[in-house]
Parts: sequence; structure tokens; C-alpha cells
Amino acid sequence: MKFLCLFALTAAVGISVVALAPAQAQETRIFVDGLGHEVEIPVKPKRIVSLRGEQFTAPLVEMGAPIVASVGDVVEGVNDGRPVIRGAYELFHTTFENSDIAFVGTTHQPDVEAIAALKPDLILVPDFAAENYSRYSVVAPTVVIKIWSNPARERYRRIADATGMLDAFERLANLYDFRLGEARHLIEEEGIDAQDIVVAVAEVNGKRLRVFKHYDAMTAVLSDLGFSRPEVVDGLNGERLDLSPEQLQSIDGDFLVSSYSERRFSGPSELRANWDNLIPGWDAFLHAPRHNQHILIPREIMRALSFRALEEVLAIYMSNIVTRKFVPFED
Amino acid sequence: MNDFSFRFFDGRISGRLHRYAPVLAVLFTILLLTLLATSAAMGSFEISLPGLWAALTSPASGQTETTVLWELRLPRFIAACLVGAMLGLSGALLQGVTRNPLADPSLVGVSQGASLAVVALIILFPTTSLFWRPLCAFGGAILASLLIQWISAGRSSAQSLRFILVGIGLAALISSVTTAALTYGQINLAMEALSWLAGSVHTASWKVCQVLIIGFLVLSPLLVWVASPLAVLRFGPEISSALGLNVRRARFTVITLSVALAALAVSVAGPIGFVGLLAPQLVHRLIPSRPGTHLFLTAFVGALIVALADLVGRTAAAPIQLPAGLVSSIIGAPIFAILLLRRVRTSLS
Amino acid sequence: MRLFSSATRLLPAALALLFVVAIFHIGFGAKAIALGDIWQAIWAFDDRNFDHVVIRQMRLPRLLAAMTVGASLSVAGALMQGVTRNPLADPGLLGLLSGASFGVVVGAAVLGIDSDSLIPVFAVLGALAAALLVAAISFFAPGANSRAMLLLAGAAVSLFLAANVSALNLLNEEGFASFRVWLSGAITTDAAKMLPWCLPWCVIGLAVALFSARQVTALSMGHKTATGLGVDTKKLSLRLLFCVVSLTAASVALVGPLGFVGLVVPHATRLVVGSDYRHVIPFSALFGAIFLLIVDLVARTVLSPVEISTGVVTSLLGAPLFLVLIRRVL
Repeated sequence: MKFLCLFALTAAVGISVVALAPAQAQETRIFVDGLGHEVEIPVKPKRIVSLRGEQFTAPLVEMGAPIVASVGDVVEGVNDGRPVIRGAYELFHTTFENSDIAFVGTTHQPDVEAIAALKPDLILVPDFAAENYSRYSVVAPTVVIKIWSNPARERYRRIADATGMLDAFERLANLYDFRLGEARHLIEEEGIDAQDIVVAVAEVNGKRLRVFKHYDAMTAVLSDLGFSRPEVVDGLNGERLDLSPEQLQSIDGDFLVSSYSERRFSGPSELRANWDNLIPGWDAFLHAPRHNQHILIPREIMRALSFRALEEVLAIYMSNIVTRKFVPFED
Repeated sequence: MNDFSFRFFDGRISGRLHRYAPVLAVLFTILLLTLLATSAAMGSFEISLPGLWAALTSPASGQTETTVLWELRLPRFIAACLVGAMLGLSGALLQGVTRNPLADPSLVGVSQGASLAVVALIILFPTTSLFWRPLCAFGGAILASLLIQWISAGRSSAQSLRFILVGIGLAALISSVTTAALTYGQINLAMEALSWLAGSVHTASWKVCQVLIIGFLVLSPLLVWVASPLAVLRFGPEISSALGLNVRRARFTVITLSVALAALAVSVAGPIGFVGLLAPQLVHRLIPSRPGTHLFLTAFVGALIVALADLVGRTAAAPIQLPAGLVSSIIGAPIFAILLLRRVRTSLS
Repeated sequence: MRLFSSATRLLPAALALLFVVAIFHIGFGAKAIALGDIWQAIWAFDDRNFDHVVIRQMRLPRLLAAMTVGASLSVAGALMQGVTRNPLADPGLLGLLSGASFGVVVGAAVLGIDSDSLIPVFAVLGALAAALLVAAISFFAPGANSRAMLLLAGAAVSLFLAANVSALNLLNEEGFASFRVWLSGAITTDAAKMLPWCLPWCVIGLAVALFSARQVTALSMGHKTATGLGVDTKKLSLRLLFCVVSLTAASVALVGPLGFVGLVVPHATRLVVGSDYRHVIPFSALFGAIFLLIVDLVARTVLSPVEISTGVVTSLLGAPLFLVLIRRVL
């Protein structure tokens, strides 16, 4: 019987839930988030907590939003072993030390209490971590943003909308669009037909050859500029494909793009070593590396949701593809 | 629930120690309450003791202390206790029915079934509502155990041993598929799956507690009922049959109950290892008692282990949160080894 | 010695089969290559011809790796079954594969070892630790049935090591990104790089196994019988332990953990050549090489152009056999 008594007791505690809601003195509005929650959020949040570095913190820093905390990750050999905010660290060198942003745990398991201690007025949660929604929402109004949804700009706009930063967003978007327009204009002026240029995005990481149809800014800017993809990539349903290394030549084109990172196992030279381990002499069999038309792009920067990343990648493509004399690929 | 023959057989096993069972129960209750108090007081959000008392006695809506205490710490503690108790009970039941001190649903495919289901869900359908995640885990665990029961079914006298071995085989198979699934998804999704696999009660809210409590309440009559056949089963299938027990049915019930408890725990917290192995063994070391008492005390110890692991995990390196499953594995495994070694030493001397 | 003569007659047949399977393994792949080109790639290699590179530098190392690993894991499994007298013993089920994986992940991700020559050493250390742990637990734990005990001890140690590996991966995303394919057990052309460092471990292990075959037969009849036949069982067990560990560890270092190979092949071998380890060991090696070549061929071609992890295929093939064995044993 002791059992039942214990259960009854625990059950009693469970049922006597105290309904709580944080104090709100600010002007508020209703926001429907990515999972359909109707959340009452401040019109102009002043204390934002971001639970995803390269997807939320980076764009928030870019727009100049008032962030009080972010998740971070300890990455060996980066920032002397102190946690870094992914994306924001590489793109803006925003760290927990040089900003007012507090560290509230790692991306995959943030510390809810540390968040509560900062008394935020808005929490941004990526959809995959929303299983903890009910716990965040007792601390502050919580908005779920779907981070796998495309196009990226729409995602960015949602973040700007939720955080009351639409003005800044429009300003940044206009700037990128202006740059993009200039770039396209130049392509036209030079008499280049962008559609004739085939660019493959592929990497060898962890013993496999992976080709990408969508890979954040790296592919977004390619499509913005109107370049073509190899057939095998064009026909993809998903975002990427693991290709047998024996079919290396099916991704041949004018240019090859891969991402590298400053982090361990993935620097530019290690990246090339990976290719060589999997496919000895690979660079002799692809047109692009054979003619020094293999372009490397910093991964952490290109992955961060931001116009700055788009602009940087745009600049790389402009100088490496559009404005340069290159050996065209003949089928 | 205590019939005569059960008492009779039980008397053969050190009845002298039985007197300590209530003492242990009281001791465990005190430990649990201490842990409750510590869990309520400790965390990244600092609350002074008077503040804590105020939040406890007169919860004020909108006050952060109250939110942290009532919405974050208490449900988490209760969920950890329930998950631990269930895992402990689940291990104790399987060890009892198989008469094998290493049997545990987390070793024989139940956790692995849940893991595969959740990893597949995360990797293949990343946009699916999170509502499905615990259901998927529960379904995976039940499906895996049904498969094991089905394959191991037969007229063999060693059926429960078969259950274990088939479980190990399926566990190895399922894990290899899970590992492969982890290689296909995008790295972010794989990391998300990996963090689920680490096992943690960090998602615990009152809603989760309610699910656990209701599940526990539904299963508890079975737990009480199962104690007497379990006591008989200890003497092996032949004697049990001779005593008039329907061995097959008893076995099936105990195994199913064990699986259901584990599945429920895993669906909420992910796979938390070594609790099901450690808790029953620890109780066994302290007091060799009859199954009813043993189950009761094991539930306590299981609760203590997971609640402690969670407290350590969330405070030791805060704000970095270490999953309870990891802490319990890393602390539990050596203790488990020591237990086994000490047991040998005492049996040798 | 009818058995012996039939086994010697079997040898050419097995070698011929290995040869045929090897030809298929080299000949088929995601890229269709004409037979003439294959011939040329081997005898008149031209490093400017991609077809030649595919054959000579991608499929050939993969072939060698698959054969080495198949032979090593099978012999390791056969030895384990002989020594423990447990038909269900297997390097994967008894925790050695997890031990070796753990050793490699710790060596590479935590200690930052990037020298290829040291990776097998870490694998050996990890596998050895796991083997000792499993042996200790199953020896000390009071058990009703030692068969189940050995496997449960293996499962518990595997679980513990796997939890540690996931913890390391969880803390180190870059490491996980580069390890996750290897952790699922995948034979890739990348194996060429590790082959020179792993091959010696395998060759020594296989040689010792062959050399000890007679004594293993005695041991498989029980410790008392073996001692009666003049075998120093302690010394032998120790030697075989290192043999099993180095074979397993080198395999893991080469291609990652491949489950159930060590279970399937020795049992199949025993069906053909009987239970004398003087035949079981060499034929396990041969059949193991053949088995893994076939599995690898399947993994590489069945969902072409996507390649499946070889470890999944070996598990899918091995687990049913394990289940059948359980039903037969119990």
C-alpha cells in the first residue's frame, strides 16, 4: 500500500499546478509562430534570448537587436576553449566576453534557469528544440522559428518580425539586393551568359563525397547569380546526395565550390587531403581543380543566416568566376 | 497479496534481514527528501533560502523565483524520480524473471528500439511535430520487445534466457541501423538525434509528470500483483510449476510489465543507461529481501540515482548541461563493477 | 583422416571462389568499366586514365581492406568461440568492437593523435580494455548461465563505451562529422591510407592463430581435456586474447566496427570443415574474406549511386543467424 500512497502524493503535487505568467508592462501584440502557437510578444522586445547561434544570434547581431543571451558551443582550439556563438563568432567576432550577451548553455541543451535569471522578454527557439517549449514559455514569451524552412530570406524576415526589427531587415535586404543587382549588371555588361557556367558544390568529409543542391549562402548566391548546376545535382529532390567516389566525373563543370572551416579536421589543406584520400589524384580528373577553378568558402561564415554572409560569398564568386578569365568546361 | 506458500519459501532466505527493510525505506525517504531540498535550492538561477521558502509557501504568479521553483525545478525532479523508479523496477523485474543479475531492458533491445524510432524520425522527417517524438519512442520500444518476445517464443524451458539473448542480438542489429541512420542526415539533425540518445529529463514539465504518474498508477496494481509470482519464479521454472504457477503466463506478464515501464521512461527521457542494472543490484547488496520489498526499495534507489544524476548534470558545469543519461552511465558503470567484485569477495570468504 | 583429406581438397575450391568473387568485386561498381580496361589498369596502369585510377587506387585497396578485415574478424570470432566454448561469442557482441572504436575516438578526437600509425595502437588498447572488462564481469558476476552472462557483460560494456563515445561526439561536433561514417562501419577507398599500418597487426594475429590451431582444438574440448593433452591453458588463453584483440582492433582501425562477421563466418565454416580448428581457422579466414567481399559488393551496388554502410549489411545478414543459433542452443 505504501506504493499507492506515494503515487497519490506525487499525483497530488502534479495536479496542483500553479499557473504562472511573466509580468508584462510593455506594449504587446499576438504573433503566430512556426508551430502555430499564438504568442503574446512585446512589440519592441528589449531582452531577447536566442537559442541558435548561426540561425538566430548572427542575424540578430547583424540587425542590432537587443540580445541578452545566446547558446554557444565549446569548440576545441577556437576562442581558447571558451564557448563561442556559432556564426556570430566567425562573422562579427561577437563573443560572450566582448559583448553583453550571456552564455546560457549549449545548442542542444540550453540551461532554462540561466535564461530565467536574465529575465528575458522574448525567447527564440529553433523548431527541433521545441520539445522544451512549455518550459521556455513559462519563463518568457517564446517563439518557434522553423530553421529548415526555405527560402532563407523568408526565415530571416520572420526573425526580424518577431523581434521588431523589420526596419533594419529591410535596410540590409535592400543593400544586398543592390549589390546583387550590380553584380548581375556586370555579368550582363561582360557578355557572360551565367546559365552557361556550371558550378558544382561538393565536399569530401568523413570518407564520403557529398554534393549539395542547397547549402546556405554557398548555393543561395549561386542561384541568385543565375549559374547552372551539374545535371546530377539539378535532378535532386533533397538538399544533398552522397555520391559514389567512382562517379566523381558526373559533377564536373566550370567551377567546383567547397566549404572549409578553421576548426579541426576541416581546414583547407585537410579538406584537400580528404579528397585525395578518397579519390587519389582527384584534381587531375575534374576540370575545375585541374585549372585552378576550385573555390573554397569559409563554412561557418557562409552558414550564418545573414546578409553579410551573402555579400561575402557574392564577393568571392564575383572575383573568382565573373571577373576572371577562366578555362571553360567543354562537355 | 502474501499467500502462505510464498511466506514459507521466503522464510528460507535470511528472514533476519527483513527487519531492516522499513529502516531502509525510511532512510531512502530521508535521502530523497534531502535530494528534493537540494534540487529545489540549487541551479543556475540563484534563490536565497528565505526566497525559496517564500516561493514554496506563497507562490506568487509572475515572480521569477516561483516560476523557477514550481515550473522548472520541481517537475524536473519529480520526472527524474519517476523515470529512475521505472527504470529500476524494469531492471529488477527482468532480473527477477530471468534470474540473471545483468538483465536489463536497456541492454536487450527495448531502449534501442525506442532510439531507432526517434533517430529515424529526427533524421528522415525533421519537420514532424515534436508531439510524435515520445509516442514514437514508446512505439519503437514496444515494437522491439514484441519482436523479441515473438522470436524467442517457444516451448523451451529456457525461454526467459532466450528473451535476453534474442534481445541482445536485436539490440546489436538495431544499434547498427541507428548508427548508420546518424550518418545520412545533415550534421545538425544528427547532433540533435545524438543529444536525444544521451538521455535527459530536461524536457520535463508538469504535463510530462502527469503522463508518467498516470502511467505509473495504471501499472502499479500489476506491480503489486507480480510480486508473488516473482517470488516463486526465483526457484526456477520446475519448482514454480510444481507450486502451481502458470510459469508461461507469469513470465509473459513480468516481462511485459518490465518492458512497459522501460518504454514509458525512455519515451520521456531517452535511453538512460545503468539504472536498471545498478538499482536492483544495490538493493540486493543492502538487503536480500523478498520481491515485494525488493521492488519497493529498488524504485526508491532508481529514483535517487536519476534525480542525483540530473542534479549533478545540470549544476556541475552550468550553464553547460550534462545529460542525466551520461552522468548515470559514467557514475553507474564503475559502481556496478565494484558491486559485482565485492559480491565475489564476500562469497569467497 | 578423411576429414583432413576432404579439407585439403576444399582448399583449391575455396581459393578459386575467392578469386572469382574478387574479380566481381573489382569489376562492378557505381562506374561501369569495361573488362579490357580492368585488365589494362592492372597490367598497364596509366594514372591519367580515371578508369584506371578507379580500379587500381580505389577498388583494389578496398578489395584488400575487405579481404583483410573479413579474414581477421572471422578468425577472431572463431578463436573466441573456441576459447570461451560459447557458440554465440563474437568480437562485436562481446564489446571488443566498441572498445576499439572508443580507443580510436579517444585517440583522435581527445588526444588529437593524427598519425595514422598510432590509430591501430589506440584501437588495440581500447579493445584490450573492453575484453578484460567483459571477461572480469562475466567471471565475477554470479550467473545462472554463463553463456548469457558473457553476452550480457559484453552488452553492458558496449553500452557504457557507446555512451562515452556519444558524449565525446556530443561535445565535439567537428569530430563527429568526420567520424560518423567510420563509426557505422564503412569500407571505403580511404582504407588505402591505413592499410600499411593495420596489415601487420592482422598478419601477425592470423599467423599466431594458425600456429595455435591445434591447441585451440584441445581448448575447445574444455580446460581439463586441454591440460590433459599437455596444453598450458593459461599461457595459451593469454596468447589468444592478444591475437583476438589485435585482429579485431586492426579491423576497426581500418574500416570501423563491422558487427556479426565473427559470428557468421566461423559457424558457416564449421558446417563445411567440421570442428577441428586446424581447418576452422584457415577456412574461416578464407570464407571471411569471401563473405566480406560479397557484402561489400552488395553495399556498394544495390542502391547505386548511393553506398550503404557495410556494417549495416553485415548486421542485417548476421543477426538472423544469431537468432537461429539461439533457438538451436537453447
